Amino acid sequence: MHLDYKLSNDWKPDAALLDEDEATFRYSAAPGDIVLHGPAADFSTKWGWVPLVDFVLALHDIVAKLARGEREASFEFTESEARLEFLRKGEEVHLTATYAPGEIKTPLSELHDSAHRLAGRLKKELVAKHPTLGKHQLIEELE
Amino acid sequence: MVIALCFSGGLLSGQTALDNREQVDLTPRAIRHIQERHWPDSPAPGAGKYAQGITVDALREMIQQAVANGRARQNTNGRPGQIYEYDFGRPIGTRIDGGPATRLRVVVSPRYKVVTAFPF
Repeated sequence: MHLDYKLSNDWKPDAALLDEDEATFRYSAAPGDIVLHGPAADFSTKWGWVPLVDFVLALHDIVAKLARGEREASFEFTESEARLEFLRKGEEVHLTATYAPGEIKTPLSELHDSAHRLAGRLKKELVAKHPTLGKHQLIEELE
Repeated sequence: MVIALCFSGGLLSGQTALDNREQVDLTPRAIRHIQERHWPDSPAPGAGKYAQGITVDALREMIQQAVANGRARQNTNGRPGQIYEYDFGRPIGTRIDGGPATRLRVVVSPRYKVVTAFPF
């Protein structure tokens, strides 16, 4: 499984966004696309609006649920009915998407590690490009 | 029970989060957010679109109707706030697959501010 992101090049945070509530920040900050594919499926988005900080936080939430023993979890995209579905089978997680065919299978441990690497890369890029974001609580929490 | 719900932020099945039917706040930022992604002339792919002729006043009315009458659930994936979904029983736009959308999903923050609203 390959998990990555593409941050929209033309996005710049306005000062007021930093003072907005958590929900507004999560739905607006750092739009772009997720890159997610395996040998038999490609769930990468090509929409340009997926809020990446939100995606990383949600992925952490999903991994934590699966690690606690929950069998299923779902990621709802913020601006459409599209979803990523996560089904735990033993130590593996099977991913499917409502907007693309196929299935990606990955060990839960790899999903966990990939999510944390993704968070680290996103935090580093966001803070480098937009230093004011580094003081935001949700950005600080990315790891 | 009501006090426990307030502290937990949870919802019972069929219960709406805004039981007192408070009006939600559609801010200029939220309007821009919606127009950039969901207006008929928005170039954003992969997002539901409102039907031609939508106005901000009509949007505001649809949102209030969805919040007042729609099914409520807690937001997902650790996101704060509530989601309201309401089926208008007629096309209000298009889904991401291009088919007609009859439902509206409204995301509302804990402070009753609209975060986004789109047809699906």
